[in-house]
Amino acid sequence: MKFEKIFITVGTTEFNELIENIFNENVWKCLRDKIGCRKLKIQYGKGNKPEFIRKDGIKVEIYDLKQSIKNDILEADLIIGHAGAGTCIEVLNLNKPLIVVTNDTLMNQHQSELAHQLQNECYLECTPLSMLHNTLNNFDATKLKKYESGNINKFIEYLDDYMGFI
Amino acid sequence: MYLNVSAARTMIILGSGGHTTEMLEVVKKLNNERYTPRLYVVAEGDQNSVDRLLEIEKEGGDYKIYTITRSRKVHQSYKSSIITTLKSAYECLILLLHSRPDLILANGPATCVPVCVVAFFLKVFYINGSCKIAYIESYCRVKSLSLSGKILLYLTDIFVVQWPDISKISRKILYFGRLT
Repeated sequence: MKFEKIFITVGTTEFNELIENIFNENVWKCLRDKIGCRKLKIQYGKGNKPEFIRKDGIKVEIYDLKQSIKNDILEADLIIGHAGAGTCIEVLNLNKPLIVVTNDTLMNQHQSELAHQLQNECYLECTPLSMLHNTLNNFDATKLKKYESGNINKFIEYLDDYMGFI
Repeated sequence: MYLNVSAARTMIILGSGGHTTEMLEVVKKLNNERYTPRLYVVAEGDQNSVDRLLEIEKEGGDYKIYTITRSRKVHQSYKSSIITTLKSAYECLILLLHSRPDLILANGPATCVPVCVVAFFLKVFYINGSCKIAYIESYCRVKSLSLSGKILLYLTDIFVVQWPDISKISRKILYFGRLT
C-alpha cells in the first residue's frame, strides 16, 4: 500500500531508538520504495534530536514538541507512534491508520498492554521495534476497523440508579 | 440506598493529563441538576486541569474547586514521605468534613488515594456515612489494576473497569464496556 505522507510521533515521552531506526537503511528504503513515502514528519518529544538525518528521496521535517499534533495527524496518510494511550486514542478518533511501535525497555509495560488489546480488536497494528521493517512491508490498512468511541451512558444509568435518581 | 433524593453533592477528583481527560468526559454526561454542587479536587499547581474543568463549567452551574498538595513526590526519603502522607491525610480529612460529599468520583491519579481512604474511614465511623465512592479504572488498564485501583478496590462502593480481561479480577468489579 502507498502512504505518501507519514507522521511519526512519540508524544511527550522519548523513544530515541524508534527515531534512529527510521533512518536505518532498510527501514528507509522500505518507506521510500515500498510504501511510497515522500513526506516524513517526525516528532521526537523529550528525546534527543537525531544526529544522523537521511534526506534522499523523502522530504523530512523534524520537531520536538507542539501544543497540538492534531493537524499533523490529519495531514498524514499513516501514523507511526509510540504505545502511549493519549497518542493511540487521538489517532484512532481521527480515523487514521496507525502502527504502534512498542518499547519493551520502558518500565510502563502496561502501555503496550493497551496497544496489544487495540490490535486484538483490529483498530491498529502493533510491532516491536525490531520488526518494524517487516510490519511496514506487510502493512494493509484495509484490514483495520474503524474505531468507535466508548459508551459512558451505561455507567451513568447505573450511577443514577445507585444514587437513587429515577 | 435511598431513593428519590433531590441532589447529590459530588466530589470529582482530577489528576493530571489522561486522568483528567477521562474524568471530564464522564462529568460532561452527568445530569447537572442531580449531581450538584460539583466539588472538584485538583493537585496543587495543576493549572491545566483547572482550565479544562472551567471550560466545561462555563455555563455557570454550582461548583467549587479545592486544591490539595501532591501526596507523593519523586526522590523523597522514606521518613519524609510518612510526614507528607500524614499531612495529606489531615488535609483530606478537613476537605471531606468541610465539603461533605454524597458521592466521590475518582479514576486513579495518586491524589485520589488519600481522599478515598479518608472518605472510607469517615463512612466506617458514621461521620459521613451515606457517602458513596465510585472508582473508574483507567482505559489504559487492560489486564491488571493500577496501584490506586489495588488499594481502593475494597474501599469503594462502585468499581468500574473498561476491558473484559481485567473485569475478571474480582466479582466486585463492574464492566460496562469501554468508556473512552
